[in-house]
Amino acid sequence: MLGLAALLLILDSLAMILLSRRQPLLSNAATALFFALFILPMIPNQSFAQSSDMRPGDAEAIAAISQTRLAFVKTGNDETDQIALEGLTGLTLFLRDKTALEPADPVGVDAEADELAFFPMLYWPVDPDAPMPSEKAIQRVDAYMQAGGSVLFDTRDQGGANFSLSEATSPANERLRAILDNMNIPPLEPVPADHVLTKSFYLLEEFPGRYDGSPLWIEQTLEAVSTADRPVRTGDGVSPILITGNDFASAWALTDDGMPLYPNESNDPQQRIFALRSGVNIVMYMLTGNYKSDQVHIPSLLERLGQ
Amino acid sequence: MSYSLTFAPLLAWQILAIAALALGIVTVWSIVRRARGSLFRAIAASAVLAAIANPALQSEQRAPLKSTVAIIVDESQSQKFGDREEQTSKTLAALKEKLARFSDFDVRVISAGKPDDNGAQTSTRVFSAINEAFQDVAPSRIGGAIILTDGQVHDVPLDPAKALGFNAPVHVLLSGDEGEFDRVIRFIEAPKFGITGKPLRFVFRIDDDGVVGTGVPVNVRVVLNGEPLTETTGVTGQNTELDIEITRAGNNIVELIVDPLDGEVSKSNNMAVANVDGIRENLRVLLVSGEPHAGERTWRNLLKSDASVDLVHFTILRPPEKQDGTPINELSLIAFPTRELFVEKINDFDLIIFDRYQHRDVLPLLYYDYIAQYVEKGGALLIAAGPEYAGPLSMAQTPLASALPALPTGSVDESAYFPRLSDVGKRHPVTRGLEGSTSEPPNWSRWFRTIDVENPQGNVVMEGPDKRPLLILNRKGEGRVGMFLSDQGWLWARGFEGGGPHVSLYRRIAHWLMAEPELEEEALYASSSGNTLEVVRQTMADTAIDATIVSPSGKSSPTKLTAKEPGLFRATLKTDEVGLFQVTNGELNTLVHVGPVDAPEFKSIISTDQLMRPVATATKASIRRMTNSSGAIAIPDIVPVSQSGEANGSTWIGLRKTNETELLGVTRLPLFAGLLGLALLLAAVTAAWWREGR
Repeated sequence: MLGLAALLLILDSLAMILLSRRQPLLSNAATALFFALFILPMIPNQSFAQSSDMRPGDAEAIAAISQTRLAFVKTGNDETDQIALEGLTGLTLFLRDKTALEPADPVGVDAEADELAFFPMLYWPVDPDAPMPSEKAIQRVDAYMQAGGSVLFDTRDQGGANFSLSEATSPANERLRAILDNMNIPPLEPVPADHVLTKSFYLLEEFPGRYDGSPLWIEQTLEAVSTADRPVRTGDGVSPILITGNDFASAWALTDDGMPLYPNESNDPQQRIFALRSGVNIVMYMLTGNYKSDQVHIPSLLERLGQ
Repeated sequence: MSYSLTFAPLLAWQILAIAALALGIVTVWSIVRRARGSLFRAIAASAVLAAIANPALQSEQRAPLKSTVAIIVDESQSQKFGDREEQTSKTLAALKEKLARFSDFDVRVISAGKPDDNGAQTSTRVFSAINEAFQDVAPSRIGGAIILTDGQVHDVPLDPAKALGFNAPVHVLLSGDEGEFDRVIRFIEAPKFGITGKPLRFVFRIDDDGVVGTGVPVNVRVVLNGEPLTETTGVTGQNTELDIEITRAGNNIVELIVDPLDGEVSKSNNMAVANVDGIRENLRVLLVSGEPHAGERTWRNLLKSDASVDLVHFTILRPPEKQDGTPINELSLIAFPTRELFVEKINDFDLIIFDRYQHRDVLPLLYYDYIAQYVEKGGALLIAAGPEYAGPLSMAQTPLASALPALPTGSVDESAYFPRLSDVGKRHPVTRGLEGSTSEPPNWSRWFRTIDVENPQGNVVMEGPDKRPLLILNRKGEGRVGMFLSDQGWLWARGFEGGGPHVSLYRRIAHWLMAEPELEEEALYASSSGNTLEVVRQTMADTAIDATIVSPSGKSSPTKLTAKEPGLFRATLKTDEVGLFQVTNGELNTLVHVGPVDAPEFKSIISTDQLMRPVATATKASIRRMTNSSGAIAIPDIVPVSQSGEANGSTWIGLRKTNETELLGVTRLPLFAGLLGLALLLAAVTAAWWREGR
């Protein structure tokens, strides 16, 4: 940088000597350009670094990470965003009530502008009626996933039952495909029966929401070898992407006194409990990774699975 | 001096031949015609032809050439034993004096076997030296070579006559005494790596060179890292197996020292050295996460991916007070086996980490006391604190407080800051040179929380805002305690503002707590590269006293250590010795081996004629000792011999004279040039004209 500046200075001096008599304006312009490009940017940087480590937006950052929070990606459709917020609030209450994790109130994030790294997971309700997310938003979410974050996509129409990247079956599914087309998405598979997600807090066989017809899709585990003495997969790392069509948020949404806000598709009251348990397992999976696949748990788990 | 008649025609031979033919025909014709003056014409024609042919009388002056004689002096380490060096230098001086009397020989003295700058020369390579000496000399002019050596030459070719490429005697004068003997011990098998605490198999062999008979049992002392380990018995002429358990990670030096033989040439090879890199395995780490939180996976993944660590991880997923009516078979939760972990097996753990742990009714208070005792007795504890440490359920409210390096003030500071290395941290091996630490602000992301503590004990190696302690490393009793006063290290892992070096930082914290030798605050290392020895003193102090380096020959040299970067003092020493060096600095000492561990130079050192005899025989030369039976230097006479003559007598050694001569100058006398030729030609032509004109 300085070397380049020196070179330019020399060039400038030369040009000045050569041209000064004939065209004084050009030389002045070159000097001004030199200052604008190289000298000016150095001044504020240095003075800033010496004064303080503070930057604009720090208050929001502190608010976002001082406690663990659930977060959802704002779609732009107020109704959808409202249900997502209510759903995450319901799940947060359930977590506080049942687990050692006591999250603060959930937040909606603008994928295009807000810092995403603060959140262990993002819930993304896919809404075909909302505007298509911008390329920048998609790229930032992609970067978030590459850096260890996980995104739970919910098409909320049970279309995930037939979810496939090549063949879209519903408008929400088509929208999801459009979003994922611009991301680095690993090969997916429905959660295998021996996956750590089925054991991260509750023992679960499926992950229902308002609907119960859609499997939960996650990154394919490559060494999917399940042996008799090891009922939990040891696959390293956490899936950066989870996809469902079961509309978790509607099932999770509770009133302040714990009553459901929205009706489920089925009348079975157990389905809502299992929806919340699915939410707990997903959150625990994202925070503790493959903790439950550790060898130490296996003898007791084996014993219990036999019941 | 020799003479010869040469022609140097001024025109091409063909033209000369045509002219001669034409002149001959004309002359013969005129003679046949008996024309007037034809004799003179013939003379003139001959003169013209002779002038064109330009004959000259040439003489050459020649002188006989010198032949080149090389004296190869073995300066390898084995030549340093006993009187060998003195004998060799005296012999060399006497030889030079004798050779100086002969004008026939051009003498070159070349040394061989000296360790070069890279220390590569740990064997005696005499034949490379001969090649070097004669590389610019024609084979016919090589007078021979005289090698001054102890006979331990490591590059004797299989077919000496062919390999040498010249026909001249290669004489050998041996230093040392006849009937020398020496005991040598060396490793046959020595592993380069080994897991600490597990026995490693070594195989060594003892040979008594120059002694008839084997099978003698000999006592061998085993020394590990300078400390006597055990004694064992080896048998001469046989391989002996030995199992050694190495104790520490990093470089270990195993020495075998065999009892000396009375009167042996050297005791320096009564010791064999092997370097073994110790690798730690099965470090047991207990990670207890007080609750699921955003940073949990950062600690977990780091320890999980560390091949030397066996991780036992527990997370409090549900505190006791939140138990509800959920049937146990719908839960994946298991009881925290506290008694097993903190009473029965606590001493099996190399490190216990409490990650955002708060005192719930999970652990009985007594157990905290056990943990404090575990630390006191040499255990390691890390508190990765979050805001709960400042709260009412803080671990500082338990009996564990006695082991903690700092107690909370009760306040938590939430403001943006760059974690920075303290002045102590810039020197401490855990944080020194952390990637991104050298710039200001540091080249890593900011954090937003610190837990305030007071009166930190030990080293505060990282600081938060307003120089508040962020990372404290302390020694407690025989154990170690670390305290990390922010729970936001995970921001580095998640790439916030570009992330940071969380992997190296976390790894180093964990391994310092587990007493990894490389991360000790006060440490002394020595390493060698070629024949350069480097000493590194790692210290928290401002200065370092001089180090003392003791070479294999026992020479002790004080060496100044200079500060190169914070916490590191270095010195380098160039040496021409090969073997085990001892470095001492204050209470610290270390060993380092310079040169190949198994150098040929030390394998066998007795003076011998066995190796070089085939060479002397193949070149019809002699091999004899520098000294006579009474030990005085006895140099044979030098006799110049012809190409085919015998080069070996009872009291003399022969060196070849060459038949070749050197051309000093050439003198040419042109016979038909100049005034003589002109006069002859003019006279002949004038005479011809005169005759014709009459």
